[in-house]
Amino acid sequence: MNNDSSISKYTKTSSDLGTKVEKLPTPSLLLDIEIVRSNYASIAKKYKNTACKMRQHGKNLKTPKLALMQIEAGGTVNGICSAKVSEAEVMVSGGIKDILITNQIVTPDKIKRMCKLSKLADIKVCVDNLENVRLISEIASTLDTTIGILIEIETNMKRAGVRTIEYAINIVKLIDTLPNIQFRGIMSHQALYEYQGEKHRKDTAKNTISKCLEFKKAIESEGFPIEIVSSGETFTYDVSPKMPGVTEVEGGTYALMGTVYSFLKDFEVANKLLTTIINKPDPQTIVCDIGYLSMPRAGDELLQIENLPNVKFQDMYKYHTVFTSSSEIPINIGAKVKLIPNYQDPLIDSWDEFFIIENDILIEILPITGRGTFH
Amino acid sequence: MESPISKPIGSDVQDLDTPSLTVDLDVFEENISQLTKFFSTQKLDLITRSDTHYTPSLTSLQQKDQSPNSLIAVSTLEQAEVFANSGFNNLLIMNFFIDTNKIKKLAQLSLLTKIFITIDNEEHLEVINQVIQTSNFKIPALVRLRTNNSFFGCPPGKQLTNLIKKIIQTKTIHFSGIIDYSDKTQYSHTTEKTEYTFSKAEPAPTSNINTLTSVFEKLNEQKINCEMLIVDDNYRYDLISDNNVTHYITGIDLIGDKSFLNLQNPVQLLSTVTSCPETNQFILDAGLKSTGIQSGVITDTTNTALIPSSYSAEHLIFRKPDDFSNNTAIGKKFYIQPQNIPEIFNRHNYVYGIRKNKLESIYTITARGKYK
Repeated sequence: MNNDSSISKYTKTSSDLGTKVEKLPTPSLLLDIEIVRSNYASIAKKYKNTACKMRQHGKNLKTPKLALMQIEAGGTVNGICSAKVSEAEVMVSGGIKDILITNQIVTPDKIKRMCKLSKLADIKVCVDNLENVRLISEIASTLDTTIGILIEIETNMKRAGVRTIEYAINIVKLIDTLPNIQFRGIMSHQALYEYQGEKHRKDTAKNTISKCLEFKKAIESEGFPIEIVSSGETFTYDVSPKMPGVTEVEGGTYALMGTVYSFLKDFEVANKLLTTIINKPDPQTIVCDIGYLSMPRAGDELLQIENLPNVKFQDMYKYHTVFTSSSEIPINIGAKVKLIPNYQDPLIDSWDEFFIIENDILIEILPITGRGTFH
Repeated sequence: MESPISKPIGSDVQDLDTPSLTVDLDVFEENISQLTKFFSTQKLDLITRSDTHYTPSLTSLQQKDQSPNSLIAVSTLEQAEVFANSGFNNLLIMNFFIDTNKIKKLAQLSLLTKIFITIDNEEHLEVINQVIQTSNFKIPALVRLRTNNSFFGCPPGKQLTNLIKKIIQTKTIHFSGIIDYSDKTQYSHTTEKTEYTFSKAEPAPTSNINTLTSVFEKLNEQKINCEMLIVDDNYRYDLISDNNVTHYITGIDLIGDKSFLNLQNPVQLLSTVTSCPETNQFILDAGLKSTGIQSGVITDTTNTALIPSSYSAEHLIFRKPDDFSNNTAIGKKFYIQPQNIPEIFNRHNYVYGIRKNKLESIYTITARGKYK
């Protein structure tokens, strides 16, 4: 609904396809498509001969085309995760046919919308509450559709998800009695709050996924077969396939990457922020034309300037970021640099388009059609 | 595109899709009225700050009691383009830009509407002068004055005087005046049992205004005509009117600041409880993508404020104290008080105008995401 038609004649003149990166307007969100392909190839290779497959998360991509690229590259369940119903709608309209909504959908309006979407794609949603199950069944019955249900299991994030096996079994039993919903399996999401070496990373992955698998065993012992065990994320990408029973991994960060996961050597950072140095108040200080509105603050100390490892983050404002160094910084006002971000989700959701680059040439302007789909 | 489930005008606020950004129109209009009344007795003009909300329709509301061509402050060239397209024809771009393509676009836009720019160094001036030297008009410029330990702004003294003299010598830029710059962008909040307030972390000191007026007087002594002396949101309203300040930039009517005229915060984010996995825990469907990184706080009927115990891109997780009186069952809705108004507006495409708990209008946040 933005009235952009008459604005574009001003704003797009310096971003024609074929433009070199250093000539692009700033600030801009760049995506190096060769690196994305490489990251996707790593997943395709890792999951080529495994029972467990990747279900890429769309919440940090917000762009169906990028999700389809991984499906085409291989190693996946041929579907993705979405965080919200509105995000799932964008993904289905972009050609994705299999979606797991990884949050609880509790309001009648949203459940109706989810039910309508289920007529276009295989839609599954996570629950952690009996009342929510009843409401989904009721609305799905009214709209003559069937929704797949996964029970979310809390394993180490202390947010949504059932806490006890007994309650999970109660939910499964309820699902079994209600129409227009189908129990499909269980889901858990994990977090690695601090990297303390490879052993700690893999142990954290094993411990949290094992907790999820305990629920699987208990539910199956009650006579309810489980089709899907969706457990793990990018930091467990090499652990999950080695844990029998896990059918899919919800990997998100690996696709575009950030410095926060720099310890994962199979993936490189594909998304970078092009910015111009607009001020150099002293030889050791530079100010860039990008700030926290377009590069939301999170772990600022991890923010890096490409090819300038000794220049460190100092401070950030709405439209500006300040970097300093103990020695003179070898760039001047007007120079453009690439910033390497640390955290993706709110970052990608701040932008309306990717500048897709290959060999530092703009080859495509890709709309981020899912930006703002947090409903 | 963001796609909230649309609801007809007149809908109850509880029926809105969540998370939804709302502005209480009664509170907002009262703030505007108070502000207009206060400044009508002063000898300066208000400049409406539009980079707190990026919404031309809200700017129109803020300006309804001001002169038709009063100045609008925006941050970027792209924001200026949006506001120009929405009919505003007197704009001040607060951020510096030195990219030649942007300067060319500035020259184009200046053919359609009056655009003030800001300058703080000679390099910047030279680039602008080179790029637009073929134009047959002068772009009005304000010199940013550094009034504290900021990274921006030209320090007072010889450097400032030389910069102004160089501007005057150019054929492309018209020296219009001085604008202050001091860092006052960080928000803070307190959460107390009975009341919480949002205020600037450090109100600009008296010395900022003194520096500004001192520079003005020195320019006068040198016969340099300084038409405009602008103070940029310093939250020391009492200091301004007794000086030579001609314009004051403010967006305080939207942000709310109880320390001045008892302005109230009209902006809130409506959110829904989606999970209660433990008896003392509940989770909202708003996360950092819809609140901004500084998230926000919620309050109960007794005004007890709660800050999130943790958060993620899509969640705010709260631990409920025993004395928190509100029902936190799944499906219940809460208003989140945002901590950073510009950031939360930048994350949404629409803001819902609410009056007496009914949806009265839907405003498109047209200039959000216009960073260039």
